[in-house]
Amino acid sequence: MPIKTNIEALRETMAAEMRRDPRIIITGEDVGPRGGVFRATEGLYAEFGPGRVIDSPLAELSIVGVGIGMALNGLRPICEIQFADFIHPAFNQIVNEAARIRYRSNGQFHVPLVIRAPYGGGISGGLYHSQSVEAFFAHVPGLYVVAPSTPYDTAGLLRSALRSQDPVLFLEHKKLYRSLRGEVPDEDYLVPIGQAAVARPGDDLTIIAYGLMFHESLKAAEKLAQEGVSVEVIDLRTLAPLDKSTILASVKKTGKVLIVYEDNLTGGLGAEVAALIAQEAFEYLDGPITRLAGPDVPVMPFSHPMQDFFLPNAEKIAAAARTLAAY
Amino acid sequence: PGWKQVNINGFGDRNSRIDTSSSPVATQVPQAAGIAFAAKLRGLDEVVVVTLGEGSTAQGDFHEGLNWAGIHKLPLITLVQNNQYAISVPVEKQMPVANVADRGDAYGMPGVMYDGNDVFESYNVACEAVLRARRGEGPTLLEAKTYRPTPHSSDDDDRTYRSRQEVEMWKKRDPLLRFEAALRSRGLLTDELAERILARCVARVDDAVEYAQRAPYPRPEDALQPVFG
Repeated sequence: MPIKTNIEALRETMAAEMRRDPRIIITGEDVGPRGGVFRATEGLYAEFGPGRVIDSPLAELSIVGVGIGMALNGLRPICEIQFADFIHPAFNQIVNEAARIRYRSNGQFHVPLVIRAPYGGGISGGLYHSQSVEAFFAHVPGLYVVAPSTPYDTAGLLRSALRSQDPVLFLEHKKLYRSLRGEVPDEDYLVPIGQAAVARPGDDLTIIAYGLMFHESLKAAEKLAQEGVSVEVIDLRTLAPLDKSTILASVKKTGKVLIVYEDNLTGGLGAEVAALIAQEAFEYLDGPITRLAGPDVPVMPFSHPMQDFFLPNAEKIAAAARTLAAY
Repeated sequence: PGWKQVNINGFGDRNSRIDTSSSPVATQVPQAAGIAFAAKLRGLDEVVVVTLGEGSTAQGDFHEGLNWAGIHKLPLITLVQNNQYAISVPVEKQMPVANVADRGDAYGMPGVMYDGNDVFESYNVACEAVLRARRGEGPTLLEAKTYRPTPHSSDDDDRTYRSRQEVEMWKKRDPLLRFEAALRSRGLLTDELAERILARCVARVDDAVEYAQRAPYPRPEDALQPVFG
């Protein structure tokens, strides 16, 4: 089976989907001849031409706003936001428009739109190239939010997103673009939106994570296994809507749960996961629902020691898991 | 089905090719550019019209949408109804240039200012803009100079921000009255025909009111749908 990086899985899946479906176009900053600042669209301009790979003005509001219009008139746009940190001008278009058009028009109109956004820290990106934006958007019904962390899921979820009838915010952790490889079958498979994955089965404790933190959690689980603690690790993959049954089944089995995310702790996605478990699996819990997340400071600092202080990692996750396991 | 879009939002209707609209102003402008862009990319013979008020042109959405339309020479007509007030704020406190149409230059498209209370002129400038779009020459920015003869809403009291003399002056320029006078002066409208037209209009409104009053309320639980397709 072919082994690919996340960025290769992304690029090759976009190309394959564009060959399959002539309605798919890409727009965003530098997506054309330059191939995107992360090279996600490299080669696509040469293959599909300026009518399908369209360099946008430097203006996120209209990258999404124009994309919504295209989606309303028979196309399936992929809108690339160069960094998730710059998605905020498009918030109104995403939240008030894309996510609400089906509902407010009573189903007369819908917006099949994929918004791709590299997010997350750990690459010395500093304050405005490291942000996690998922919590803002996971709050909004009518919008799917996905965050694959493996090449296999990147390809499978992107295919699902491009065949969805509704808008999808497709979050790509930029530290994972090239830092790991994984098997990606050549066939046309789907990873359904709304399904988490039990990536590592275990009995004593559940760690729930996504993105870079999922991989750090796997490393932590390996450490704890050597210490005799059996950790189950769930990769959420889809952040909205949450896969409640997979989350609850795991917690009911292990009785202890650690939720890990690199966004600010307060009001982060893990808060919703924690509330869900508290409300629906309370009697199964043998310890406090625990969150390990970024501190509540405005953004991730640039300074290396400060960045490392901000981000959870395998060591910090293992320490938190150890404490919880001993509870 | 419950009509979720009613209240102060737009009345989109797919069969009439009228898009759904929302209340945050000017969000429709980049979307209209996208609709026009898709038409162009798909090779469809379509012209898109987007409307907004002069107050909404202060939004970034207006600028960004027209910027795209100009860059890609899209078949888009942006019709700005300049009624001189954003609720209570007069136009000179909304923008530093005299006319919205002056901004056309910034987007590489003609900006056409005209008497929006003149039905014939409105028709002519709209036709020219449509023909221009169909010839592939790109977008047009239209500015209809007009007036809002009533308060912004039933909760608004326009006596707090504009004089009665001004309102009365503009009421005399009502496009319906002017159009009627023009038709009469050409012998195209008689008293009898005017009465017939009015009676037909009143009957249509009465029928619609009756239909609405007889219609049942939606099922409350229909509030849960449709979120996703």
